[in-house]
Amino acid sequence: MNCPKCNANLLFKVNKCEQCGQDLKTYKKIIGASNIFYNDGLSRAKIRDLSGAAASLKKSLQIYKRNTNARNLLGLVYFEMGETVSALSEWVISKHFQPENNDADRYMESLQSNPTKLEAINQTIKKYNAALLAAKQSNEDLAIIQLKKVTSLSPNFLRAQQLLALLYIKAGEKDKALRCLKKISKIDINNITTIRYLKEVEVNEQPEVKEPAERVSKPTAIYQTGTQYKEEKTNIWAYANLIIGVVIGIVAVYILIVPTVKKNVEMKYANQEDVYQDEISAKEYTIDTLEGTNQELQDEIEDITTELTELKENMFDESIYDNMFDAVVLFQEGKNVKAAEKLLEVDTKKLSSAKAKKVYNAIKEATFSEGSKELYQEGKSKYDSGNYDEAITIFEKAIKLDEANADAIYFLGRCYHRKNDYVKAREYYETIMNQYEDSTRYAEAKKMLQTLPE
Amino acid sequence: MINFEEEIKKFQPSLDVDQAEEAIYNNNLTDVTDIIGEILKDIKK
Repeated sequence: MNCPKCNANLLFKVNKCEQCGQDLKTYKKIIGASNIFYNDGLSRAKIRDLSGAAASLKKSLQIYKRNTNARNLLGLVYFEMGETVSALSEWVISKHFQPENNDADRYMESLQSNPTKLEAINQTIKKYNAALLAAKQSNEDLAIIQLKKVTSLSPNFLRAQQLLALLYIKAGEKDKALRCLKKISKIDINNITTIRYLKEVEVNEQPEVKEPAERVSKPTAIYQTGTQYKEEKTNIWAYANLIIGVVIGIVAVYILIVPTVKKNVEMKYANQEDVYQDEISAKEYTIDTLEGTNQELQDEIEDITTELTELKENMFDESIYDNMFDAVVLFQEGKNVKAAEKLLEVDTKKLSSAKAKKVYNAIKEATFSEGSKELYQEGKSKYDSGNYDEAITIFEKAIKLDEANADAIYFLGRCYHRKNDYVKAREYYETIMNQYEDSTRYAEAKKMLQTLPE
Repeated sequence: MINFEEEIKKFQPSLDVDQAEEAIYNNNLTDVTDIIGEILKDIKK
């Protein structure tokens, strides 16, 4: 308790202020009266008679404005009735009178710590005001829509629920009004407006309810006896309607949605096809271009190859003359066979110089025939010693030097005969038979030919 | 029977959060202690 004069904090049992000497007897009586109303308000609030609680608490505060408990409780009652701003106002005033150890701090903090919730409350209030304005301007339908939103967001907002119920009553929708009123009668059980509206709704419903003859004849009367248990019949129509609804839904999907989806898919594929066609055309064009380029390059290669060949042919080949000079040297040294072999390596087509050709022919005449004979002798000795492979090489060289060396041809055939290569042996024997009939080897070749297997 | 026109007049717009401060200032906070204090002042005069 505080002194009304000097605001000193005092115990309730003292009758005089210890600081300023103020007589507190009357003051204490006033506080006691305020507390009586506070206790009444608290009792009513506990049984959810919020309207009654609010009235008592207001009286309590009219008697003693510093009754913090009464003011805080009034704030809570307002908050429960959906009157958030009034609740906040009470708590702020409470805080003003008792800055410390005040429950109002906690209540306000719980609201202010959640700005989203506070904003939602504000929007709800604005919608309620808009609905009220619409209702006053006879736009009941719009008002009902707005109030439905308001009551769904804030079901405890008594005034909104009452206004909605009033509009339903005016529209003749008593059931809906009754539902609203029953909902709020649970929040505030003794609200005069709610009770009046409920009476209005129930009075209008009475004639329908009070028809005992009809009620007895109705099957619901069976439940009132309470003696028999009867299982409720399954409502087949509900299931039938459900199935019909599903079937209609499926058909609607096939009729409305499926063709659209199909069309979209077809369009998508058509677009893709166009894209692929473009890509194919582009690639074909690239291939044609590359093929053209390739053909050009091939032609260029052929031209270059031809040019190269011509250049090579026309190029002065030193190796021709090297072989020529070597052959000349060997000839001068008396090595006729080696000179002849060297001369074989000379490409006569490339001997452009007439003098060179003359030298070539001179050495050839002097060495080839003689060389062939020498090689034949060498090959023969190899043949006699059974070295047929070496003999074959030497006989072939001898034939290169002198194609008419019948001895070399015959023994070449003999070497192959010894090696059982009858095909090649026959070839050389027949060469003797056909081209060198006058040769001394003719008879031998003929005889050997007869010994060959067919 | 409820008279709709009369009933609707009883409904007043709700204060929104922005108007809370105004509501606090407009709140009549005179209580019995204030009245007694005024009476005592007048008697003393």
